[in-house]
Amino acid sequence: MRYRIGVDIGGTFTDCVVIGDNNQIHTFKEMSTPEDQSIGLYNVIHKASSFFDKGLDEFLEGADLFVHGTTVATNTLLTGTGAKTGLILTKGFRDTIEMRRAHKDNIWDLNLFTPPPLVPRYLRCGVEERMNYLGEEVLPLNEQDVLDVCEGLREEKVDAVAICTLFSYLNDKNEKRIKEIVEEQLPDAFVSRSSEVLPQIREYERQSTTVANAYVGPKLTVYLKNLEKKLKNDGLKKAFYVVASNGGMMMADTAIRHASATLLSGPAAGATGAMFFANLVDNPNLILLDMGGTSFDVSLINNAGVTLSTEGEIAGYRVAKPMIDIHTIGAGGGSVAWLDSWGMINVGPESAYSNPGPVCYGRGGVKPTVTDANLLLGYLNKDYFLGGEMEIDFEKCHSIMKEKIADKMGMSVEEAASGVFQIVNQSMADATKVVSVQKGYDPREFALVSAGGACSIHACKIAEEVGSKTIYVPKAASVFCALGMLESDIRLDSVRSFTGTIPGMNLEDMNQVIADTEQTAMGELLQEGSSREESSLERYLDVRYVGQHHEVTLPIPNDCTLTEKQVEEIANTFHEAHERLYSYSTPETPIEIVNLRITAVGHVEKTGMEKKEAVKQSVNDAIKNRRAIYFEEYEDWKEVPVYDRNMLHPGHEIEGPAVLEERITTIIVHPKWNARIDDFGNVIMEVK
Amino acid sequence: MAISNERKTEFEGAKDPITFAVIYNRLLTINREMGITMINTSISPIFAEVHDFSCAICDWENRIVSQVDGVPSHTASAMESVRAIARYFGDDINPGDVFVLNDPYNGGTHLQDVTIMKPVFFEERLQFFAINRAHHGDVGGMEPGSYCPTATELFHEGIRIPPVRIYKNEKPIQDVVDMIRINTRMPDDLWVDVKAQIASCRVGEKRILEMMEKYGERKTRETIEDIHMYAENRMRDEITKLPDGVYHGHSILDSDGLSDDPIDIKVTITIDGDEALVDFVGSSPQVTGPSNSPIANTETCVYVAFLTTVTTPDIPHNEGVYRPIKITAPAGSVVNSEFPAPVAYCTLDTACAILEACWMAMADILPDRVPAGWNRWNGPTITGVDPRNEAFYVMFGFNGFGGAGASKGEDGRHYIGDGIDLGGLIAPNIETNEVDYPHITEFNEFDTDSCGAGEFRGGCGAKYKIKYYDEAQTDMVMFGDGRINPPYALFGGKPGSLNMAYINEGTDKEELLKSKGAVSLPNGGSFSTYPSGGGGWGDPKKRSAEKVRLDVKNGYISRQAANDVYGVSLTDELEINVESTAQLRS
Repeated sequence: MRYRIGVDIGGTFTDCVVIGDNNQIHTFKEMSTPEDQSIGLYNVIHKASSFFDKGLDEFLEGADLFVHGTTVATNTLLTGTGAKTGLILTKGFRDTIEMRRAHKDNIWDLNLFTPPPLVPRYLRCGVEERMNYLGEEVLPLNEQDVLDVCEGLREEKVDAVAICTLFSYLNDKNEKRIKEIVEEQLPDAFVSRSSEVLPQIREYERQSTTVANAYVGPKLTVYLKNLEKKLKNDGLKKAFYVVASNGGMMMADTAIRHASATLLSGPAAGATGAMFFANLVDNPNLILLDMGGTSFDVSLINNAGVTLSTEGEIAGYRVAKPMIDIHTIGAGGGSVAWLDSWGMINVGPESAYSNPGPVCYGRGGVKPTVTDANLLLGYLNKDYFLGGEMEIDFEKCHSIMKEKIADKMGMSVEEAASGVFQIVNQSMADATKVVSVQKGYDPREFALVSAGGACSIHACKIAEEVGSKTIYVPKAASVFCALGMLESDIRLDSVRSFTGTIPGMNLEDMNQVIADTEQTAMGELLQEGSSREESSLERYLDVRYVGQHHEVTLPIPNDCTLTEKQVEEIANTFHEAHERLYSYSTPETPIEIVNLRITAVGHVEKTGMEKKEAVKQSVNDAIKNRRAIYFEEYEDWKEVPVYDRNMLHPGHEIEGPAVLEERITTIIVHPKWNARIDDFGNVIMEVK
Repeated sequence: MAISNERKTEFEGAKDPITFAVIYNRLLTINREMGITMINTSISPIFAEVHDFSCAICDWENRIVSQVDGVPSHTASAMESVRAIARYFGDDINPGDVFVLNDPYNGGTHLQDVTIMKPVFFEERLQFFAINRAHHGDVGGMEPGSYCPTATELFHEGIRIPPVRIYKNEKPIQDVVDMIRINTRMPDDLWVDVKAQIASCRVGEKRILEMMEKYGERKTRETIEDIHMYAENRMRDEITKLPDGVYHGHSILDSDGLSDDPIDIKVTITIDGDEALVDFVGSSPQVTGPSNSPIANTETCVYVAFLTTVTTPDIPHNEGVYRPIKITAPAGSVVNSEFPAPVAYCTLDTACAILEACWMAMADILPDRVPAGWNRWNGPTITGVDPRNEAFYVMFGFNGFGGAGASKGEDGRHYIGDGIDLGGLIAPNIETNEVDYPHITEFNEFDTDSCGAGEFRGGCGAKYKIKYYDEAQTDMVMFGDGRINPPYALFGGKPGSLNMAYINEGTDKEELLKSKGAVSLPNGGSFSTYPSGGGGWGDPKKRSAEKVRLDVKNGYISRQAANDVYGVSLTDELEINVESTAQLRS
């Protein structure tokens, strides 16, 4: 028997998805083990192998693919537990990463916390050398300086070294030489140079990314190397892949070199899940909503591909690697509702987390949360909480909402709970607009995908606010991420600085740069175990109007030598994109090209999902009971049918308002919506 | 002046608290989206990279209802701008109109700040204005960049735009556009950026209308009234917590650049119950040069002082929050100048000094919150023709920033810029600067010992030097301050360093530049600046010896300063010499 295995490390659970022969999907869960994520990973694959009645070695030997989504790099950055790192840079510019371009995120907070630089000043060392804005050397590298710096860094016992000199994205000669010397002098250090990590203009962003790369590199190396060794010892014959921030995957060795490209490995897996889902339901435009206990993540799938951003910040550190464009706000089931002294009601960002958790958990929580509001409004079933596994304290929940919110505002408990519900919905709708409206995508043309246990209580209201007309609730919402990983491709991003204008660009130069970059990219891809037949190259240009300072990334024609005519079309595409994004374009203004981006894609075979047969049972057979639910539309309670989701089958149609319940996920079909079950067992909600 | 202690508006909670919270947050989101549009579409680095603009929404009574995005020096002045439109146009404000102004004596601050206002109509009634105020590279006047050190009248400083209509029925009024364009050295840049401002207002308009579709006029208006009352109430409660009394602050500007006379900014803050009276009696009369501050600018600085210390950062920035603060300033003084006094420096130098005076006055009653002095502006405007493409350019000195002042429990941040901008300006990268302008940078790095010493020390300024291409012809206008008066210290700390700037430093043509004035660099040459670090808070000898040791190791301060000022003696290996340290600190 052959398997494809995906393991995704989440904050609470480690999920494993195994696709076996016949494309049967099996899912397994174990608690995560943050101190060493590989323990949880091993626990869950042991569980899976026993399920298949196999020894671990036999199970792993049968694996055609093993993909891992890990948060090791992210956690290293978040907890400040990375390597002692040195930084070598152009003399005279020692403080770039600590200067942070002089910017403060909230100017009104005089004492706003700023994370300390990943490399303290005494480990940031200048060496004499300089390139100019054309990449011409105006001051040669002083190698003695480099040797002296290495001496100092050795005394300080650094484990990693980052190298970033000015204009190295145009000419990497000095950075290369510095790296050679460092590798001779500090043979055990993990070394990253900016011209490899992110060869593009803007030294702050490039340097910050390179430093993050070096800082998390050693820890990620140890983790992935040990894990790979162990998995191979235990029988894994095929390659071991890691999910990258761009929603693709890469081999463990590549992930180690590009450590900063794994900083969003966890959430990226969710986006790959959405991509997979887009193909499955044949709807290429989706907005993925994922509501957890403490946060709400939104990302957008356009034309069945993830949208990427290079504007990211992680744990307060600027990382300019292409990452899935994911917007996160502190709104989840555990978000606390509170009144300030002047009567303004707020929800979040404080969270009750899982401990003590919402008041209704009865674990000592005394602050009303979104989950409590959902329970009070009847959205959650007080007699079937987590499938009846959890006893809840409804009385306490009621009295706390009354005391902390309702009485103070002179409202009834349900009005107060409904207020909490509306406010959190608005925050989530605003977050949804950030990835859509603010990026030039009209959410009315997108369907929402609601993932996470509580999300589908809110999804209709979010959709109403942003104007979406369709909502999907996937069958296996809770293992969505892990499933998506098994359906992702190998994707390696590379960027090359290329300057030119349209009109007036030297086409020959451009084609040459494309050819060179593609050749390198393809070489790297083939080392990932892809064959040339399963590979393709995608081309993008970062372009703007001459004089602008922010670029738009455009796909350009692949697999060809660019012609003048195609360049004209690129210009037209840009004007259209600008119009769409910013409501105007100026076709008379020349266009400036800043970067060329090549993504090498190694296509991986897709399994798809089995269609289910329609069942003749009547939809009414799925009704478990009826219960009263509070709707803001009626400003009152209304008795609605509660369906057992496991009894719902393809072809079934349900008129809202209604509740669809299963163990973990509750779906509320709000009054303006209907629901039906598609061929794969997904729930689709549509506006009436 | 007597203040009435009667609270005029008692807020008993919003009529519909849920809608209240939803609309309040929605306005913030709209405001932010307006800002993003501006960043992404403007072409001048001063907007796209540096963020020297602000967006606001005012209501039907010309009151600010929302302002989250933008530089603090624009905080309250949007209100003055829409009031000017109301005065000029009365009922003649129609859908599809866009208005513009920059007159400091009619709703503006200084001439470079061009304000665009788009009225928002719903059900045929004027409901809101979407506003974008942005500092343009050049609006004419005696010097490129429109900071004119020898200006003695507003007329010398550039085009003066009274409240005028620039779009009608969503179409530009070409006569007005041409009139403005012909008066700037950079007509194309200015026009593209004005269009970016209008795009930003359009986005605001669109989103406001979506909101009103949902809530309707009556509910929206009711809620806006509640939002004002809510903010007012919060400010009143915060002021009530302060001890009643009369508090004084005094800061000094070096000069107006035309004479060497120092300029006094004197403030008296009277806390009386839930109101504050801020009075500037005793401040210098208006001056000949461009250091004068029209009243709207002065008011803004007072509000910034209150919003950064009296309240917490999450308080709404709207008209309600300003109601309990009464501001008076003698007419014809430097903080309430009268036409036609020139004003170009008011949003930086004078604004910093006004903010400092207010902070100083409040230091005794809010010792935990008020910071020591921040850097004052030290940068030039640089203009020239780029020999690489023969194009005229204007570059503002947005590198080489100074440090922030320390406050109780916190060292000041290094490299943050001047006080009134509070870290809202973003420094461009060295690489993009060298691509855009004909120079090469020699250094941009923290300046050791620039930070004011203290138990909590100020942030360092960054020394910055650029060298022009030999064939480049460059003109500079300095318009900073703080060459004589450093960032103030608090509670036994030491002041920050002084602002310094040179041309051709280290050559026989070296020249120490005045803080204000024009200078030319024919045929290459260099410019270097040493901006002040922030002031220190508390006795430096109380700073933990370990922190001092690390400061030396990191080169923020010298070993010498550790010894002499902080009383920490370090060995050659930078270990603390316990005995001699104890001696020095006794």
